[in-house]
Amino acid sequence: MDAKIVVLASLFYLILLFMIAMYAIRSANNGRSIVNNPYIYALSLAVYCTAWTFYGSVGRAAQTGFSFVGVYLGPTITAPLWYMLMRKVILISKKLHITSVVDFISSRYGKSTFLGFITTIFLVIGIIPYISIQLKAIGSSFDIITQHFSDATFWDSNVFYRDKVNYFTILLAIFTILFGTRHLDPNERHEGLIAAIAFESIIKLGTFLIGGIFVVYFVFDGFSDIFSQAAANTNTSRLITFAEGPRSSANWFWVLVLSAVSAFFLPRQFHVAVVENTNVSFVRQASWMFPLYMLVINIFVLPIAIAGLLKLPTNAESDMFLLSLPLSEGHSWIALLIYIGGFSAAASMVVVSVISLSIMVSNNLLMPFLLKTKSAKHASSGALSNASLQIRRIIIVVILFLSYMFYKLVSYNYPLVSIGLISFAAILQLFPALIGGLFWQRANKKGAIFGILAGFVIWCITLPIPTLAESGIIDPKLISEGYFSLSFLKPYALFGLDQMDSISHSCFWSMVFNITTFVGFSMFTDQDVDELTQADIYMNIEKYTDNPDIEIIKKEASAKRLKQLLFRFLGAEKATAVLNAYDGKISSTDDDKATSEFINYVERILSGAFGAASAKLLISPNIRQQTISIEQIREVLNQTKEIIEYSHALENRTEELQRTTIELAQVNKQLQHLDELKAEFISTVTHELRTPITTIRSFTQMLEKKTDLSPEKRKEFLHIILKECDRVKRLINQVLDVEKLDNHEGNMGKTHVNSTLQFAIDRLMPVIDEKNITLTVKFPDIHSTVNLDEDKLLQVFLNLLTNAIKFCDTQEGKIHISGVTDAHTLKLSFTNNGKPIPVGFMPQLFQKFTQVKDGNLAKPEGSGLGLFITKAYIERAGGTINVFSSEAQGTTFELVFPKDR
Amino acid sequence: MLQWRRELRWAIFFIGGFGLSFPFLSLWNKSILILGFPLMYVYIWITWGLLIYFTYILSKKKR
Amino acid sequence: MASGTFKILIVDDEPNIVMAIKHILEDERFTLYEANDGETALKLVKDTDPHLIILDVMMPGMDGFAVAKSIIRSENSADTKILFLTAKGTSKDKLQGYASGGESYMIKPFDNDDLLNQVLYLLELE
Repeated sequence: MDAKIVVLASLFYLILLFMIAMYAIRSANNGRSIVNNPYIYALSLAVYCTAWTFYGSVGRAAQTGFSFVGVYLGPTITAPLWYMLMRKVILISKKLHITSVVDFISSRYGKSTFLGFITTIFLVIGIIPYISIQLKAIGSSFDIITQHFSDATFWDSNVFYRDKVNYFTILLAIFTILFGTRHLDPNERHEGLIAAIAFESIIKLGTFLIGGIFVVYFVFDGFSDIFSQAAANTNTSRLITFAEGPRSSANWFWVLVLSAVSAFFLPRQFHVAVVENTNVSFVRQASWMFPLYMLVINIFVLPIAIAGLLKLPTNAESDMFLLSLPLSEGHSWIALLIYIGGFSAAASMVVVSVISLSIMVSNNLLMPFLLKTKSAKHASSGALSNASLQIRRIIIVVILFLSYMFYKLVSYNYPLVSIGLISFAAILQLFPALIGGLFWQRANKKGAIFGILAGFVIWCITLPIPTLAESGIIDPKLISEGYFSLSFLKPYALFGLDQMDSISHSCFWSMVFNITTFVGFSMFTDQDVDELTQADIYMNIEKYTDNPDIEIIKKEASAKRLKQLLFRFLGAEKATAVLNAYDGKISSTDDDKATSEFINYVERILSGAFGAASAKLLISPNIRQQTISIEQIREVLNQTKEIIEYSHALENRTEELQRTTIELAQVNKQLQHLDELKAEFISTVTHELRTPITTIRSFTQMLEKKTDLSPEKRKEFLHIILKECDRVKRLINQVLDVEKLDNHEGNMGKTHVNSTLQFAIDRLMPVIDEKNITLTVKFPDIHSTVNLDEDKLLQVFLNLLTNAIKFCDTQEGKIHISGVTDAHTLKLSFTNNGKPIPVGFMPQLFQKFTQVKDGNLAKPEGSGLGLFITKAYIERAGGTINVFSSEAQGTTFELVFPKDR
Repeated sequence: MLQWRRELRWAIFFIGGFGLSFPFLSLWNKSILILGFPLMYVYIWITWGLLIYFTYILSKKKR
Repeated sequence: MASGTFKILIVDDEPNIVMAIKHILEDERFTLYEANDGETALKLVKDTDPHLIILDVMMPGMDGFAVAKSIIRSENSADTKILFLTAKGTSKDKLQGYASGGESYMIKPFDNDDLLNQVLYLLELE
C-alpha cells in the first residue's frame, strides 16, 4: 500500500481522536460529562491492552502456544478482589489529591521526597522499554503494510532523518503535549484524554475482531478447520497444547502475578484507574467488564498465530502475522484497518504512560529541587505553575526520546512480549511497599526506600543489564561469566539458581530481597511524626472520609500567607477558583489565624498540583507546627480511632435502643393485656368468694339473733354454713392452682395412669354410692404413663369424676370410664348420662369461671375453675381434651395423651 | 451479609487462582479437539468466562 | 296497709341465698316468690305483679340489670320497686343499677337487719 495513504490515515486518525477529546472537554465544561460512567471507565482500563496485545500476543502464541494468555488471566483471577482493594486506594487518593502511583507511595511514607525521587527514576527506567516496544510495533507495522511500495527503500532506519519511527515519535510527543499539559489541574483530570483512549479501546477491539474473523472465516473455514490443520501439521501441533515443564509453569505463575499487579499499578493503569476515576463504584462494574474485554480480544490470537505459521513464509515476523495475513491474501484495506487498530493500541499506551510519567518526574523529581532554589522562593504569581507545565512538556519530549533510543538500541531485536514483561517485573518492586502501606501500620519509610532499592538493584542486574549484554551494548561475556566474573553472580542464574526462565528468576530474587528488606527495616526502625499520621490515613481511610478534618497535629499559619501561596503557585485565576470552591472557614477569628481545615485544604490543593512531597516543601516554611513526640502522636491517633469506633458503637447502640423500645412497647402491651386479664380474674374470684360468704354471714347472723329457732332449723343452717365454707376452701385451693399454672410451677413427672385413676375412683366411691350411681370401668390393664405430676393427674381425674357425678341423671345415674390405646396415643373417656350441656356453653366450657347452671338443678358444687385447670394440666402433658354432649349419648369428656415410651 | 460477600470474593479468587495454575492446568493439556477446539483452549476460555460471570454477580448492588 | 298484702319476688341463682332472704323476711308475713334466673323472674313478675323485687345481678343467662329494664318497660308493673342485692360492688355497677331502674342497691355480703330495714323502707312501712 502507498505509504502516503498510510501516513494520511494515521494523521486522520489522530485528528479524529483529538476531536473526540475536544468534544469530551466541551461536554464536561457544559456540565454533562460523557466520561462519567462505568462503561467509559472500563474501556479506559483497557489501555492495558497495548501493541503487546495487538501484535505481541500473536507472536508469543506462535512461539510458545498458550502462554500468551497469562497476562490477561492474572487480572481476571484477581478481579473479584478489585473492589475491596481499589476502593481503599481511590478513597485515599481522592482525600489526599494523589496524582500518581509514586505520589501514592511517597505520601504514605511521610511524604518522603527521597522515596518519591528513587521510585520515579526507577519507574522511568522500568517503563521506557515498554514505551519503546510500542514505537517498535508502529514502525514494524508501517514497514509491513508499505513493503510492496517502491518508496520503501527511502525509509532507512539507519539514517536518522529517514527513520519513520522518528517521525511517529515526534507526532506522538505533540499529541501527548496537547492532551496532557493543557493546564495544571489540581486533580489531574483529563476528560478529553479518557474519552480518546476509551474510543481507542473500541477501535482496538473492533479491528482485531475484524482481522480475526477474516483469518478464521475467510482465509480458513472456521475454528475447527484451523485447529484440525494445526493438529495435523508437525510445525503447529505443539500450539494446541501447553509446552509443559518446570520452567514454563514457574513462568506461568509469575506472569499471573505480574499481570495482576500491573493491571492497577503500572503508572498508566494507576492513572486511569485511580487518578481519573470519578466514582468509586465504577470499579464494581469494571471488575467484570474489563476482564470480558480481554477475553473477547484474545479469542482469535491462537488461530491467527496458527494461520500465520501455516500460510506465511517461515521468515515472516510472527509479531506481525495479523497484518501480514490479509496482505498476503491481497486485502490491503483490511490490513489498513488493522494497522490503524495497532497504531491505536500503541498510541493510547504511549500517551497515557508518558503523561503519567511526566507528572511523576515533574512532581517528585524536579519540583522538590526547583523549590529549594532561591529563584523559586521569589517567583512571581503563577510563575511556578507555568514553569511546571513547561517542565512537563520538556519531560514528555525527553521520555519519548529515551524510548526511541532504547528502541533503536535494544528493542529492535526482541519480541514485543519479552520486553514488556521486563517492565511488568519493574512494577512488581512497588507492590510490597504499596500493600504494606495499605494494610500494615508499622510499614515505614526506611523499609519502603530500602526495599524498593533492593528490588530495583536485583531487577537491574537480572533483566535489563543482561538484555543490554545480549544486544551487544555491553560485553556479552557478562551472561556466561557473571558480574565481576563471579560465577555466583551470573545475571540469569543468581547464586547458582538456573532452573527458571529469566522473568521468574528475576521476580523471585528481587521479591526475596525486596520483601525481606522492607519488612526488616520496618520492624526494626521507627516512624517519624509524618509517617505515623500518613500511615493512619492509609490504614483507616474510613475514619477520614466521614470526618472532614481530624486535627492530629496543631498547626498555626497566617491565612493571608496561605492565600498568597496559592496565588503565587497556581496563578490568580486558578487560585480564585480554588478559594471559591472552598466552603469551610478560612480563619477562626479576625486575627488571620488560619483554621487547620484551611491549612490542610491548601496543602492538598498544592499537592494535587505539585505532588505531596513538593507541597510539603512549599507549605512548611509558612506553618508553625506544634512540637510533639511520637508517643503523643500515637496516643492522639489511637484516641481518634477510639472516638470513631465509639461513635460507630453509639450509632449501633442507638439502633439497638430503638429496637429495644419497640420490643418493650410490645411487651408492655402484652403486660397490659395480662394485667387486664388478671384484674378480671381477681374481680371474678372476689365475686365468687362473696357468694358463699354472703350465705354464711346471713345464716350465722340468724343463728345469733333468732333465739327461737327450732333445733332442726338450727341444724339445717349449720349444715349450709359448713357446705359453704367447704366451697370457699375449694375455691381458694383452685385459685392457688391457677396461680401455679401461670407461674409454670411444678416439675414434670411420669405418672402411672391405671393406679392414679383407681385412686381417684376410690376417693369418690362414697359419694357415688351415696347418690346411687352405677359406675362401670372398662379399662385394660395398660401400664402407660403420662408426663405429669401425680397430684396433678389425680386432680384431673377427680375433677372429671366430680363433674360426672354432679351432672349425672338424678334418678338413675350412670358413669362409664373407658380407656383405649394404640401405638401412639392413650385415649380416656368419662361419660355420664345427665342432661346435655347447653350448646351455648360449649365454647366457654373450659374457660375460667364457667359454670353450667340450670334452674331445675340443685346448685352444683363448683368454683368454675375445675375444667379450666383440668384442661391446662392435660395440655401440659401434651394431651388434648374434648367434649361431646347429646340427649341420647349423654356427656363425654375425651382425653387423648401421647403415649409415653 | 457484607462479610459473606467479602468471603465469597476471596473464594472465587482462590478457585480462579488454582483452576488456572499448574499443576491443575496439566489435567487439560491433551492433544484432543473438542468440537474443533483444543481441549486446553476450551478449558481456559470456559473458566475465564465463568470467573467473569461470578465477578459480574458479585458486582451487582445488593438489594 | 298490712305487710301481709305485699308481694315480694326474690331472684338469685344461689338457692342458699334465696333461702336466707326468705328466713329474714318470714316474720313480716309478706307473700314471697322466688326465682333462680332472669327468665323465670320475668314470668313471675307478669303473673304476680309484685311490689318489690330483690334482684341479683350476676346470674346465668339474663343478668339482673337486663331483668330490671324489661320490667320497667311493661305497663302494668309501673309501681314495682327493685332492690339490687349483688356482689358487684363498684360505683360503676351501682350507677348502672340505678340507671336500669333500681330503687336501692345493696352489696353482698349483707347485714340481715339492714336488708329487712331496706325492704320495709322501700315498701313505706317505716
